Amino acid sequence: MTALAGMAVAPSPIDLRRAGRRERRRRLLLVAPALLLVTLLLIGPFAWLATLSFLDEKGALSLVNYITIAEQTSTLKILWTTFRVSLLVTLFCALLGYPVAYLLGLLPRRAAAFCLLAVLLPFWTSILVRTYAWMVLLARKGLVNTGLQDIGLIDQPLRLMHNETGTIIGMTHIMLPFLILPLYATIRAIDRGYLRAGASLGARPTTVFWKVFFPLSLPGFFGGLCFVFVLCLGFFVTPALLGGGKVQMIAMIIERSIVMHASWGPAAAIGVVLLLTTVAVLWLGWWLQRGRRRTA
Amino acid sequence: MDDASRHPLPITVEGMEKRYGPVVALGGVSLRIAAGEFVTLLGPSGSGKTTLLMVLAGFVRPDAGSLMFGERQVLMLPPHERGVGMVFQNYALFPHMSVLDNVAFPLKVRGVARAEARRRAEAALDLVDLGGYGGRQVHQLSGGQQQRVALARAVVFEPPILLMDEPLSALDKNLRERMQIEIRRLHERLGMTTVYVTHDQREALTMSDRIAVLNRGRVEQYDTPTEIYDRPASAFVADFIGESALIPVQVEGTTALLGRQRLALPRAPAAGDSHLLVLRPEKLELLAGDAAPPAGANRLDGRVRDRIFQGESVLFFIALPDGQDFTFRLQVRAGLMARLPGKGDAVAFTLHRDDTLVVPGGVQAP
Repeated sequence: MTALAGMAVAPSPIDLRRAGRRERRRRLLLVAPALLLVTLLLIGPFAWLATLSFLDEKGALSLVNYITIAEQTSTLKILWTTFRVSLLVTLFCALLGYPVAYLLGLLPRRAAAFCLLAVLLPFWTSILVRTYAWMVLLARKGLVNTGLQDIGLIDQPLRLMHNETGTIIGMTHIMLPFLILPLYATIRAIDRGYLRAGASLGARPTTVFWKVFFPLSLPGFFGGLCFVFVLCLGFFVTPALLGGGKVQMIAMIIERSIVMHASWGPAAAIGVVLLLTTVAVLWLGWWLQRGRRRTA
Repeated sequence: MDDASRHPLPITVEGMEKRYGPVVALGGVSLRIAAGEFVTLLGPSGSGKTTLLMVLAGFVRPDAGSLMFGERQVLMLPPHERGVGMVFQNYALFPHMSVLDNVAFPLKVRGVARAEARRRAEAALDLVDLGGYGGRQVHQLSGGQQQRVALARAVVFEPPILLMDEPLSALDKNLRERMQIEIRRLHERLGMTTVYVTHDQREALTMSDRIAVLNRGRVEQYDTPTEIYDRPASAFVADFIGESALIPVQVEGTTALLGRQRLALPRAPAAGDSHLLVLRPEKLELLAGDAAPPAGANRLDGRVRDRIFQGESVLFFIALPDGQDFTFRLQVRAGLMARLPGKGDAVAFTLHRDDTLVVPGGVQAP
């Protein structure tokens, strides 16, 4: 206890301010372990990597790694592939995920919780396991091809794997929960009163959906889209396995650069580019969201 | 449609039934509401008043019944084709639209041109004293202002019928009383048939042309506020409206027997197994000493069981000879305190014969 406790003297403004500062310090103490961990394991290594990216082979300060990225058409092509695949996966996630989240939102809470398991169970399963499962399904003699041949829809097996199609199928499946979960949370929170109000004011169900429901679901939808897109940009396992080396994404280049050529500088430079791109995308999403809210 | 909507429509509800599992929300409700009338559905929670309003709006599909707006059967119509304006309990203003866009919404979905919609929405905002607020965001408005915007949005397309679901329940008392008068005034100006739901009896008495008192999915009484107050049809209505004590009495023709006391009634009450005397504090008058009651008034004897000072008034708990209790309130004026009867004193009251209300008992008031 402080010396003032129990005394009839009123604390001075300085005492009060000091007490407030002490309280804030104590609160900071609570996050200290997490802060330490992040500094040690994330910010530190990243700073080190960023430094590496500015060093040439002899250890001198130079921009050579970045110049190589800009000059090598292969790297630019890979960046382009990464973006294209990520965009397509995000698009398919949106098309497939929105109806699911919408349906879940309409269901009574208990039924929705049960159906949510169907979204969560794969989500909790290892990505590697799910990717191999897709390989079983999509292989030349896999379940999908033999099934389609058996019912006579196709004569020749489709090339569903070791190309962009397979990569996109697998990635979409793995990314779907990242879209559905935030979107579902937002949709759940939309007051059904707004929909009733829309109907009572003469709007047809489709109008109510587009003018009232959809705009109100946008924050969650947007969040989910950003989530998926950003995760896709740095995705490694699934594109590596389902792409079969034919789909080159940025994460694979980084891996190859380190594992095969043991060259940290170029890998670090690509990593920095990936990080900056990701931040740019997130910032763009945030900016669009903010602009929409302001003009709404 | 738009042309017809300028004229209020009568509403005819017949045999409306709705069950939720074993719970009867509406047990055969019939109501006729005249064109341009302001009718309040009044009742405690679970009485079916909100269910009935939702049936009118089209959000609840009843199990049986008929609903006519004018000459048109509307029960099979979806909500957006019924053309009724509605004000919701929590206002349900669209948070992603400006005030003006909210009010213009019903016009836009009806295909009204942009400029025309804007003009009419601004006129509707003027009507509720919110001219110039169109550019604001909904969350920037106070509760009372949001309430007005909801009202403007519900009337901007000039619907023949306006439905209101406890629109004032979220406001504080002062604002509520002001809004009651304003809604009443707006109704007089626009003239649309209005159905208003509330559980607040004073609100119902203040605003309505007629009140339908609902209890357990049935209409207990459907009448003007004065009739409902002065001539309640049942013990439930007598208990729900006003501050009243219900005391069992025997009835012989136009006389009520309260123990050994005889009270003259204005007319023979409706038949029933038992009867209850409705004692409203403001209808009683303290009788000085042994004075005889004035002509046409009944005398009621009792004893003061307790007396509580409440500032502007004194509350008496009076015990009747047979042990029944009722309360009586006396406004305090200078010099009166000393002469007031105290605990244990015998007192007598006069009760005008026309104010001596007897209703059939039987139904247990909640």
